[in-house]
Amino acid sequence: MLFAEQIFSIFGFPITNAMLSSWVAVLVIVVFAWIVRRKLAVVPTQIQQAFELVLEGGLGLCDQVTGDRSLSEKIFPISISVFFFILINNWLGLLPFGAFGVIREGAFVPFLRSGTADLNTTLALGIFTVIGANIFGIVTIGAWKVFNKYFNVLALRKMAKNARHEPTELIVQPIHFFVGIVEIVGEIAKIASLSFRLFGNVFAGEVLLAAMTALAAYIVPTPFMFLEILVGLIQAVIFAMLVTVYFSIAAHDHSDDTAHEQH
Amino acid sequence: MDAVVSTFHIEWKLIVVQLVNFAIVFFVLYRYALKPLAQLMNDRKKTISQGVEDAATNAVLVAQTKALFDEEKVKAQEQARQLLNTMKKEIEEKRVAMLTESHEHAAKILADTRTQLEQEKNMLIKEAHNAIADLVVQSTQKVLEDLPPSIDEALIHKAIKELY
Repeated sequence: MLFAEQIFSIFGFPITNAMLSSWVAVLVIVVFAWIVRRKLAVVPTQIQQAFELVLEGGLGLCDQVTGDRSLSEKIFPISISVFFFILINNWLGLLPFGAFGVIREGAFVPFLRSGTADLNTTLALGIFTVIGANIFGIVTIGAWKVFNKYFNVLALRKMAKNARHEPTELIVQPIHFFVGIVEIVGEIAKIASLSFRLFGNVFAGEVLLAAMTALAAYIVPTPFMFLEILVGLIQAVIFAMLVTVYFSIAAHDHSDDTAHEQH
Repeated sequence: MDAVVSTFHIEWKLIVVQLVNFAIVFFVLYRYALKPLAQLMNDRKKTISQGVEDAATNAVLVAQTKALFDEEKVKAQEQARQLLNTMKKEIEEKRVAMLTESHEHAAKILADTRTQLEQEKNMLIKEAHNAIADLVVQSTQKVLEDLPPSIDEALIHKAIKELY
């Protein structure tokens, strides 16, 4: 099934198996955070050491993207949250709990399905990323600059001001304005690209595993399970890195670059 | 668009629920894991860098103290050597003085003893003279019992004088 199946409903609100998986993922992360908080010590325990290792590595990757530690420290909590949320959701789909479910209208409906194998989840993450990045941009560089990124009023003003001396401005500045409009389309494309990439990879993995299990139930699917563990990790890293990139770009003032180029 | 929505069962309610799920994850991770851990790691980093800084300062202090110690040691050795030389000199002077004094004292004792011996010798000789005289008198008396004692004695004295 391309979409998550409804298990039951509460006051007409559909509860799907992907949503149940997401809740389990949230629970796992909450318990993990609680354990880390409880075991926090100056001399780290093994679990704290592992978490510190992940944090240091992630922050290092973030630094490579942003090139600025203070900016990385602002973006990193979001990226790492996205990473864990996607990773746990991806891996939950690989657990054998999918064998538990109900028969509805002659079809088997599993109780749990990987949260990221439902487009609603990935779409939610994509929407969060794009809207979050723009809000981050407004907070970091200001609303006016973010507004001008999409509706380049400054370009039109520059055209009106310099057209007499520089007739080429009549061509260049409308292009800049048009590029801003294209950015809006780009933002929508980002949502589509982020959500469909993740959904496609995870869903394809589930289909692959189901097909392999159907062909030969024992041993044969095992290497594919390992492959999917890796794919789940890679997809989580890719999504988190893209979140970092989008947030980092949003925090960068592009009008400065244009001004530099013109000088 | 409708085809996509119906094919994938896209529903805004589910999207909102997933956003809420992610918000919970973000809040919990940030509030209970990332923030305290980052704080702890920063504190640890500060402690370590402070420790390294202190160690460097202490190393400089140790080097300075060692240099000071070496300098003081050299000074103390020099002072000790000077003191030793002075003491040796003083002891030598004292030894010489004591030796001289003891020599003088010994010489004095020797001289005194000699004088005393001389006096005693003289006294003994005198006593011996008297004793010899008495002996001679008595002997002569025995031999010459017939002579009056006054003559005898005069003769004896004369004889003794001639002997010496």
